[in-house]
Amino acid sequence: MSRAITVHSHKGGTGKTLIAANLAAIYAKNGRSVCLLDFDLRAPSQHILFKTTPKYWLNDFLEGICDIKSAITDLSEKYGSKGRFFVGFANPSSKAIREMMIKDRRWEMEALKRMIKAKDTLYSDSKVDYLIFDTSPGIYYSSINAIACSDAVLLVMKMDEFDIEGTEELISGIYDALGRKKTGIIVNRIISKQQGTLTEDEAKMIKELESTFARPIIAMIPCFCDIQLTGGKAIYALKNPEHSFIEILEEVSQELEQL
Amino acid sequence: MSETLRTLKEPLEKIVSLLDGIDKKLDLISASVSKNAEQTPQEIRPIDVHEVLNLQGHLQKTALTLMGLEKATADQVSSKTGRGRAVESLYLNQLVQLGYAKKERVGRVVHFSVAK
Repeated sequence: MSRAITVHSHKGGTGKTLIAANLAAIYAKNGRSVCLLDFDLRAPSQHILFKTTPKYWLNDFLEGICDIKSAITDLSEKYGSKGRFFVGFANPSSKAIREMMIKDRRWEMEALKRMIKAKDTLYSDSKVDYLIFDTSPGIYYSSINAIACSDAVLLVMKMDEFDIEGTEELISGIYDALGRKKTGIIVNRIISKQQGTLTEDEAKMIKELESTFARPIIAMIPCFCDIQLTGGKAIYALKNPEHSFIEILEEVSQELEQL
Repeated sequence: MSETLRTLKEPLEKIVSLLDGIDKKLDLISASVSKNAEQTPQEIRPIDVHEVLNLQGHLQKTALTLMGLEKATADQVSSKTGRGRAVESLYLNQLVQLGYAKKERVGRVVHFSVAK
């Protein structure tokens, strides 16, 4: 059965883009058919990671200029993945970003309708097993539209007070309202006393957040300096699958089946 | 003369009684039409994701499915949501009452749709 997952957060800089791209790559590497959509229309990034300039952007699909199949690029051959690996990119030009920011309610309503239909097309025609949305942080139309289209949400947060409070509000204000959307939390970029891993006390303290959020924390990812240093130039699941970051995300990919 | 009147009295009374019945039925129909007119908004409200958020949980799935289909029968919505046709029919009618959808009957089939 096909599944749609939105990767979302309260604030920016939590690592959504890297997590979404690597999660998609893990599924494709393991033989599942995947479509990753860059729904961060305000700050597109996936085109940088995948070093691709498509003929049509997701913006064109949302405007009704092209269909969803024209707006996704098949990267299976480029990356030699076992499963099909499609990616839909958002237009990074400032003109396109500005245009997306001034869309009105009716346009967003049509965009949601288009996306619901496109999901069916991707599942039935392109045989997609996993549809992954990388979204803008916070409560923007494009992000909430993606969440409404999804079966589950991966909420990525950092361990600071801003994120903890904001995440709590997102859960009660949006996810609970959307029919108690299935949600798993990833605490990312955790600064630990032991570099690259977590002490028992640190892990216990973070796990205690589960009762605050009433949602499972499905992964705790320490801050990996080497990943920060590459500055988002590599998809680790494809270039360095043995990395601890990818090992954790492999577990997340399995956890998502249970959500 | 009195014989003629007596002969006419019975059918006339029957006619008056029938007219009385028709009058009562017309009153009932009139009341029902005006009640339905109050319940069915003239123009349907466009439904976006923030409106969906304000709906009760059970209606959200139906609303999102109908948005994807744009125009559908309860049967078609039911085959997408996996819930029973009767349940979807109930929820679709609730969306109509809330002003988010309209329904039109084509023969024996009822089609529901959202605002364009």
